[in-house]
Amino acid sequence: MQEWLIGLETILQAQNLFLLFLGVFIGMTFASLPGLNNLTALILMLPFIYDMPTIPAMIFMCSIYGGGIHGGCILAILFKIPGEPQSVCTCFDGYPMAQQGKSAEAMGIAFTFSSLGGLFGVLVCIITAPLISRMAEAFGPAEYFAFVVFGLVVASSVGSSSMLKGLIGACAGLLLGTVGVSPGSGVMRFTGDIHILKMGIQYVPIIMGVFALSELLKMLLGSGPDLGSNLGTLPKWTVKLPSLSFIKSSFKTFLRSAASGTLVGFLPGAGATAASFVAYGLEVKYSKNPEKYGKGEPKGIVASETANNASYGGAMIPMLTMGIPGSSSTAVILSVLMLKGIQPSPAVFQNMPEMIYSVFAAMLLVNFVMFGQSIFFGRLYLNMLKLPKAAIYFIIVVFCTVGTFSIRSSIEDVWIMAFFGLLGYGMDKTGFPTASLVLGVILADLAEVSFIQTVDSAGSPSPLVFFASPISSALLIIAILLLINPLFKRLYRLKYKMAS
Amino acid sequence: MFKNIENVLCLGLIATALIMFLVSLNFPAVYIWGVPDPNRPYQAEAGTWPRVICVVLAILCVLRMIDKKLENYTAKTDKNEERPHAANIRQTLAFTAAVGAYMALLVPIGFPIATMFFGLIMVLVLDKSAFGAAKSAAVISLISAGVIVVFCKILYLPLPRGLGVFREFSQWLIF
Repeated sequence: MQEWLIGLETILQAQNLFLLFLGVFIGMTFASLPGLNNLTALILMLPFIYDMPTIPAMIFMCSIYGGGIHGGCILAILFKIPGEPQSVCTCFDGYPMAQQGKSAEAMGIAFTFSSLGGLFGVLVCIITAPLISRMAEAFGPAEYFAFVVFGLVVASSVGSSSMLKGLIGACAGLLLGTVGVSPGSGVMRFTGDIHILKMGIQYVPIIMGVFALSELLKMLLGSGPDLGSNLGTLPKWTVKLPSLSFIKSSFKTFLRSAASGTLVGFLPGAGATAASFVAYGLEVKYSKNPEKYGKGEPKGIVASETANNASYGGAMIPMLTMGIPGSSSTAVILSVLMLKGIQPSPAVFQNMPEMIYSVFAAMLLVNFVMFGQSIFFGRLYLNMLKLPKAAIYFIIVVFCTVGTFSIRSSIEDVWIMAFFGLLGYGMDKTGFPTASLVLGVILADLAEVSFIQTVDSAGSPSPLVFFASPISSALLIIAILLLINPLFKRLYRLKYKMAS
Repeated sequence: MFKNIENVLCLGLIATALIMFLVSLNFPAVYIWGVPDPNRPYQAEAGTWPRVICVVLAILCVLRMIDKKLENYTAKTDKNEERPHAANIRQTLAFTAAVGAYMALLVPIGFPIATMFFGLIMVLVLDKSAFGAAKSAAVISLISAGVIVVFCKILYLPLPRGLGVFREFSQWLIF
């Protein structure tokens, strides 16, 4: 209880409240612009947190993340343009409702259930994260290594059309993480006597290049939604909140979507987009009138918006307790903690309760703030669409350059960012998931240290040493099953083809 | 076009993994967590982990190349693959060149001057209509001024100030 009071006291300080409001506003603004998303917002705000203390920085970033997931529904309903990939399912029923002249109702449903779904996910996070962290206290290096492998395999299987491509991306990330000083022995590796490589390749230039610069290239080459799209006259901004009877009748849909959203959010690499698709699919499956979906069924919006916001809390659980990010956005938030010299682990719950409970309090409050902001500032977000395309591209390039340069005052880092921008575009075009590469880079140190500690303490390089404990065995067996699953699917298809 | 690039990427990764594997064999035998212990049957060294990753990466790339070959036999290729318009390609090349020039000029001419010029070039590259360009130029000038003030004056970030006369100009302008 005392931790909660400390967390509340921290969040209610004027500076932190301001950062929370600002973070939600920035997140929602980016989510309202086609082609940009909460990930872009998180990346572009990195230069501002370098000099901030850890707690305000975390409050700011978590608010951007929450606001960003929420804001994508506005464009999805009004223009059938998902401001965020996770709002694609909101388009299915939101846009038909808007065409039927019910945009105010659709908007009200989306805002209400986004906030309720977000609250559900955050409450699950608040309840389970301390329990998981207590369980994780008993984890040794073998369990941590198994968690990293499990996370990378799940991320590779969810985020890409081909699991092999995801795994290649993850391994390339792990290999990039070996450049620089070896943890433990202090030996310089793969530096080629280049000064900047002696300190290792920073993950911030990689994140900025792969996620922000490559997105600009994609938009310019027309393979993504472009900024400055001609949306015509902006509609009148009205929001009609759903009645209590509608909320009651949608309770089952809400519960199903919130639970599936939180669970999918927890899985590494899955994120809000997968959460909303899973929840929408479940809703269509369990509905008595599945034919109504896609034609303006309000419960379709309930399912999509509840699930993508519930994934916010789910994705934060593995990040806060074990330092394993559940999505690209949580990977950026993890990089903020690492920039501040904090490696999330169970010990953080013991040693830094103020930070943890301030983050929890901020995550709770974010849901109320974004509900209020979306109703009162909705018109403002729409007006952001009038910003010139050149201005938005300019802001992104300048913020990325400043963010990368400022880490260690090095222009080489800026060139590394540019290289990864081009690489990210190439990876995207060839279907290699960039998120796996970034997860690999971020988890490289944790993976290496836990691998070496396990092998060293067992005194054997045999892979069997990782199966010594039940937890690591279970995780590795699940990972292996996930790995061989596509092979069995292909064999089954081949057999079916031959039989027919 | 990108389908062949995938194979090239896989081959490039295999070559990189092979080179890194060979380089890691020459790392000094400094053992992790202390000096060599003769009583232990095995001790990891600085090159152990990179070698493991190199082997796994090379195997995955080979598997992917085989997988792609099988895909080519079984799946139909999509001949109507969306190709970018020539105008989009020209605009992207101009944008990439502008970003490259901005990064290259950042240290010699300093952040404030490079940023102002970059903003104006962005207008020329991305906004074609006369009215759009004028509006963009006005908005970008305001944003440039805001960005320079926020990063240099408020956050005191250690950004490049330029060399020689540009340094003096930057000092006079903002620092």
